[in-house]
Amino acid sequence: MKKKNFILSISLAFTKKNKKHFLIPFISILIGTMGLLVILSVIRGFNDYFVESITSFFPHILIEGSSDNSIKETEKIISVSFKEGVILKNGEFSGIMQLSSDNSGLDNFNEFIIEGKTPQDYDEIAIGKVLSDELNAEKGDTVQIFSIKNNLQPETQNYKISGIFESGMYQYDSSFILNKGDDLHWTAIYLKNPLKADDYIKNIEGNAVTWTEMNTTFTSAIAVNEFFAVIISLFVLVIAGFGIMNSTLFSVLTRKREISILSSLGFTYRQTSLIFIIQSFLISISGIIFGLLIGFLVLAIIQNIQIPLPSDVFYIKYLPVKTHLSDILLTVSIEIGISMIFSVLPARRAGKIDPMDVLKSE
Amino acid sequence: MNSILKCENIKFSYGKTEVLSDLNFSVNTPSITGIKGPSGSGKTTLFGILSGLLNPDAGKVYLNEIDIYKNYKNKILARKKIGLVFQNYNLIRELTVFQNIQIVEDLVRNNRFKIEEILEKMNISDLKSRYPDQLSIGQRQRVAIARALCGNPSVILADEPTGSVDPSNKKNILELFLHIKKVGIPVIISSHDQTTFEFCDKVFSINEKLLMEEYT
Repeated sequence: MKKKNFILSISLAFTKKNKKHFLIPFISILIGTMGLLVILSVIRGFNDYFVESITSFFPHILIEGSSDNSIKETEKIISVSFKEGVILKNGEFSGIMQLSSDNSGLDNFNEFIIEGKTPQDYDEIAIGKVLSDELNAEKGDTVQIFSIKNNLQPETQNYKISGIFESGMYQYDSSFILNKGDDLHWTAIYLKNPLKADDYIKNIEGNAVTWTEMNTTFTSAIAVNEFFAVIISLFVLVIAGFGIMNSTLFSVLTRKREISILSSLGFTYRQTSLIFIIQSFLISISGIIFGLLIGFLVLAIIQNIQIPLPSDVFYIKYLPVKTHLSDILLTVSIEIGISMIFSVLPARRAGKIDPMDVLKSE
Repeated sequence: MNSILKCENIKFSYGKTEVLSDLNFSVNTPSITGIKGPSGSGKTTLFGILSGLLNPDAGKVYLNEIDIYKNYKNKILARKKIGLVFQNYNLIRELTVFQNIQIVEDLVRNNRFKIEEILEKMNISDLKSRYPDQLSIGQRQRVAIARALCGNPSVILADEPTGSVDPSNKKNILELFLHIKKVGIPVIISSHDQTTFEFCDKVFSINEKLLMEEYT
């Protein structure tokens, strides 16, 4: 036992002796940590999947007209325009959003083409995979697109399907078509970090919009996901906190004799309480370490066995999992914080025990 | 002469039952003082009051001229500077002999006595890695005395220190107190055993809630 560590040594000795009593709080913290890590990783997996699917396809910032705004960390800039319409084939029809660009802009979508190629001529289009399945349309087929011109006159035009694309987002794959156009009203910017789009847009002059504003349904869903994940996890953690509270109180009540001895030796209220707070901390840390280890094991299993998701509900085939360091740090901090808060109250009782009551009755 | 430990007009009651009434007492020199009295006469209560563990209803207790019940800080200081030895040793079962003694050394930051030297003097060096439950009753009491001594106390209060030990161990323990007196630390022993008082320089008896000097 080294000098100055006497409080820690007493805590360790007490914990070692009473390890059976701490089994339940240890398990509850372990489950809480593991659950929190798995929940956060799955939610993060979904979120990252959605964000990546949206931002790899859809421009991160759209500025009306041609723009000379210089944004740091710009990956590429293309010109685009959008027009709503209806696509018709063999009596089947569906509402669509036409995303038009020039050849260099359309090359940006090459990576999503799963069959054929991006449109090379003005009478060619690429359609999403879901839309192609719905219309039973294949590469080389001809479709009609009905739309409203700028002068509010309706127009109908025939297009040949040059390719089928798959972005990973149901919204795009079921309603977007790509075609070649000249009259491009928007400057589309792709950033190295799309999550910073809302920060950059503040400095842009003119009419500009970010991918988050254009996809509020998804960004709101992500925010709701995270909110519920935190709420569920907090419930789990509060239960673990009560476990710690009970075991600390039990420990204090069964150690009246030792507390009295320490008081008679000159330990202050604070030093005596600290012994039990450290004890709770040791249990929490053990529970957190084992919880993280088992949590990582569970995540590795989920990733390896690839749990399938129902295709009529989810557009993703398998349950996505992604763990961020910030999630681990958040899990550990919340766990330690809660166990400390819940252990302080019963530990303070240790300082209130009258040493004479116990020593006299001994 | 300044007193090492002094109490003035101490009163204490458990509910309506008065245990100590207007009690005065002081220790000025390194000596062994015996407190005599039957069970329930208030000896342990008096020791609790003298050691900063039990607030008296009235009166003052001074350790090295400091009023130990003036504030919490003084009370803690008194507990550190008074070596308590109980009849039932009050060792912490989860700590080894060495750890039981070292917590006091670390707490008080004593530089006067080295643990190894004390263990040597108490003849318990070879027991330092053992736990209290692995010791005999006599050995436990030696460890308790070693722990009290390790804090470099101004005074040692021993409440029935020989109450649970056999006659041969009793003599050894009382000789230890004689040794402690020689190094300049006064010892106050409460007991109802006549042999103990043969080692005392002065004996008081608690009688009718008062402390009376019986003989010197």
